[in-house]
Amino acid sequence: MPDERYVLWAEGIGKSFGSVTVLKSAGLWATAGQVTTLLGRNGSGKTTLMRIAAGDLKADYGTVCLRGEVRERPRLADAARDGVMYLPQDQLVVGRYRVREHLAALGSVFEDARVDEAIHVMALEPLLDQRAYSLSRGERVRVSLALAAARRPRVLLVDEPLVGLAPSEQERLADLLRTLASQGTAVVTSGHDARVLLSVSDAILWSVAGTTHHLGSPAEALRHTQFRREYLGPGFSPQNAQTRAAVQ
Amino acid sequence: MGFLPPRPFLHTLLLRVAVVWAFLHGVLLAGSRVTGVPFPRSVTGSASAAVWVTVATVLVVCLEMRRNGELIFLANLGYSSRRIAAVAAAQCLLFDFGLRLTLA
Repeated sequence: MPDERYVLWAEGIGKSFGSVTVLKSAGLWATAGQVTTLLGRNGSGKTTLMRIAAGDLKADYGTVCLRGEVRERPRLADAARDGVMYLPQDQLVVGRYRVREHLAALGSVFEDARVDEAIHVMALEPLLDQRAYSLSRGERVRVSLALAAARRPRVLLVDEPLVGLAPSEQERLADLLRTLASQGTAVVTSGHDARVLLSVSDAILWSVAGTTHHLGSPAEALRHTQFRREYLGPGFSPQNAQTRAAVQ
Repeated sequence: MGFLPPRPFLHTLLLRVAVVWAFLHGVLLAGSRVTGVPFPRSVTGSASAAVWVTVATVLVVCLEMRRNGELIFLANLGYSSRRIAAVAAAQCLLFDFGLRLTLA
């Protein structure tokens, strides 16, 4: 039965690539107005799970449900028309096109897209005439998130947006994810920057051994002994996982 | 939202299809010369050759678009890879029809 608490959910997802089983029984749950973060080691299947939930990859088995409707064969293009946006790890910009062209394309398809506002919020004015291949990773992430900010999707799946960014930039982009969530978007993100991600999240999912554990709020995740021992490690200081977790 | 992708992406798609289609027809022409197929059949090829050129063109173009992230960008705008493939295939068949009409 579709669970109406979640805008998008995937459950019992299994996926193998040849003889390698990546996911056995994984799940992902996206709630409107919340940032949900998928944490897990490299190779734990975070990207695979996000791609399946977005409809960019076909699962071997399992269920994906979007807006209360079970999708037998989810496809990203169909999901996109229903308000899903997926930003892959290498970001949503295509090297040969200018930043302006990406935003114009989005604006021409979705008439309610707030392109000018997104350009202003993400301070993209100096980048508009640059081709995407000339952008740094941080700039590519900014442009991708600007596309999301303009689109204001119902569900935004962002795969490892903070990788390779300076701490100040990580915090800035994490704040933007928070802002998108505050506007009603169900944001699902992933990564390894536990301090920043715990500080910005409402719910934590732990991807391990082909499955996913819903750990609850960041504060609850920090109290989860096995998660702390096996993922965060003994050196992780909860004091540094900033205040949202503490407030909760 | 129209059937065709937005402008700069559509232009690149059409250009890519044209280049790959012309290249494959060039290969076809070279092969036909070697095997002694008479003009104009050496240029147009058989009906099955046209289908193979179309399939190969669509495949090459879609793989290239997947590689550089264009397919995923367009999918986020609601344009499926099947739709992109359909546009590419239609262009190939139109070119083929035009070529046969010109040489008839």
